Amino acid sequence: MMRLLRVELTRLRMRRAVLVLVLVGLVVPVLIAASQLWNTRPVSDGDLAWAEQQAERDYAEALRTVDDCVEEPEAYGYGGEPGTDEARELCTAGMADPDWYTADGYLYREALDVETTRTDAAVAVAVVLLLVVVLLGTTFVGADWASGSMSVQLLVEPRRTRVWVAKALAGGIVAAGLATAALALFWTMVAVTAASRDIETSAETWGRVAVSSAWTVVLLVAAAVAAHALTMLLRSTVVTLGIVFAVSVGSTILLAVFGASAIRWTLPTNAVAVVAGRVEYYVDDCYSDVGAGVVGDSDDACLRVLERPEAVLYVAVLVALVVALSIASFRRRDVP
Amino acid sequence: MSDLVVEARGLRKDFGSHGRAAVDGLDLSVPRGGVHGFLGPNGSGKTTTIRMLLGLARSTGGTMRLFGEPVPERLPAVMGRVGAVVESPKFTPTFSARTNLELLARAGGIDTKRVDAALDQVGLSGREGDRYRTYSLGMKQRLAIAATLLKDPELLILDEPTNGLDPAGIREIREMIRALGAQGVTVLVSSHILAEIQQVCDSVSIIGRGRLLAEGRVDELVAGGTTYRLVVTQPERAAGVLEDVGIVVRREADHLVLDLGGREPEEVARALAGHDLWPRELTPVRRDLESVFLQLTSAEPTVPGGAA
Repeated sequence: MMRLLRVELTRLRMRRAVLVLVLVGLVVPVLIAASQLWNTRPVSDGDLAWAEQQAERDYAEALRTVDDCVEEPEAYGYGGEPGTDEARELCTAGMADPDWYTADGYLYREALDVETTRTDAAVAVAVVLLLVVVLLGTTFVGADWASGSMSVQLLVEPRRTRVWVAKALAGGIVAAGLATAALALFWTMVAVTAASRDIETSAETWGRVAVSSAWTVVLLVAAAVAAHALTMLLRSTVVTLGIVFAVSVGSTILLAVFGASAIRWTLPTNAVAVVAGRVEYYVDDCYSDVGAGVVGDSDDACLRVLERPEAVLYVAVLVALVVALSIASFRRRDVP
Repeated sequence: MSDLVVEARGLRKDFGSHGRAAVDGLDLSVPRGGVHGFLGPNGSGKTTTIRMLLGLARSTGGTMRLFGEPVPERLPAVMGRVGAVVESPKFTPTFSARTNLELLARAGGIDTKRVDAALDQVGLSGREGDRYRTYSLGMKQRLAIAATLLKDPELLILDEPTNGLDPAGIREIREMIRALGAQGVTVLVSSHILAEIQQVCDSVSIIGRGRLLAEGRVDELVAGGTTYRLVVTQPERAAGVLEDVGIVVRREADHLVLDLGGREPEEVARALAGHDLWPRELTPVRRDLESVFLQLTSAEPTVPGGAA
């Protein structure tokens, strides 16, 4: 088995498409991290000067509009006789409150927060990596079927389950390596930047980051293996990617037919729950109860939470099903 | 231990929902050593049979053995002794010939040093660094044969091995097949090219519509039923004389074709001389494999679009 695994890893390493995908999987998380860090950068003197300039400019514009309003308050929806102090007071209160035009109002930039990054940008990284490993798992074995080289390989190693497992392991190992490297890059950038900005983050938060990252790696390995399994089952990269696309569309259809409560059963929601630890969503069939006073506040009564253990179980069952079908099919079906 | 290297009994393969039989109760016996031809028209089930023997396709019925071991159950145990080229084998197009062979060697636990020898044996030395997709059809076929030689096989199964080769390449492959057979390797060559089989094979199995039609040594198959060409001045009278003594006569435009039915040609001369008829020419017309093949398969229409 180790011999086959080494061969499959070599085969993977030598594929140009795989190298490109690995590169994408490393570069995009770095770009996402850079974007996140840029969007949360501290306010500089230049930013402050720009914000004050903006506030002054907009306030001056508002005062000019107030002058127009005083002449024709009805046109602006205010009462009072035109040209009176009363009209000016009403127009000013409604259109040019000085509190609205402070520099703070123009500096709506949030500071870097590791916990928010974990449930926001890190999820985006996971989604990108998910796409990359699905493509990687699919194209790797899809090329064997497309080129017709599978039969030549089976003439050397006729134990089909071993061949299946070796290819799956190779895909899984590369996915694990890529995910680990990409997440390490991402979080190193975040951690170094947070330290440089004197942002204190609790050990508990970093613990949650570590757990999320570990589950992300597990999810990505499962995705690579599932993509491999699906391609071995369908024997075509294009058909497999079509199925993946159909699953995405299917989620939308599921929501359209069964309403918001079906969110729990969509694959993307479960994947996010595995990465982030939980997903909160609102169902719409409880609002009548809220209105009728059967249940209390709508925010609480209609809120549902999908926790990680349920999501992991859901994803694991799906992957196990695809793997079992794929192995059974590969063992039994004729190879062209 | 069985002296048969390849053995199939009642082998069957049905395709499709209507159960069309590509192989229909085929019996096949390939003795150890020498070159054995597997002859049949397109669609007769040759490739399907080979694919079943090698575990690439599942049989619907019957039994198969390689080196006396039941396959596909014991295929992993015997596959190291078998080299095979099935149809036009494909390799990874973006890898070089050397890389493709090295990966196969490593997967099979074969010393990668054998790669050079195999490439050299099929005349691909010097081009081993080129990508597979840049290869001509003939070079691809040579590489496929090189892949089979990696294992130093005891049984070599070649399905239409000269497909796509130029005349020089065909000759080289034939010589290689003969040489391997002479070295003690059992070679099973599938082909629909009669001359190829007759030139390189010691024994042959002829199949049609998935069934065995004839099996035996090539010289025995072509020896039986030798006919004679007779040129005589009064052919109609001569035909009557010969028919009277029990010889089957077929009248052609300018000669007679005689089936002596085991009699000696001297009897023809004696019978004709007794009626003052003197043959100007009496020559044996030896059957070739083509006539045997056509005779056997004439009642066996090919299956349109069927598996070869």
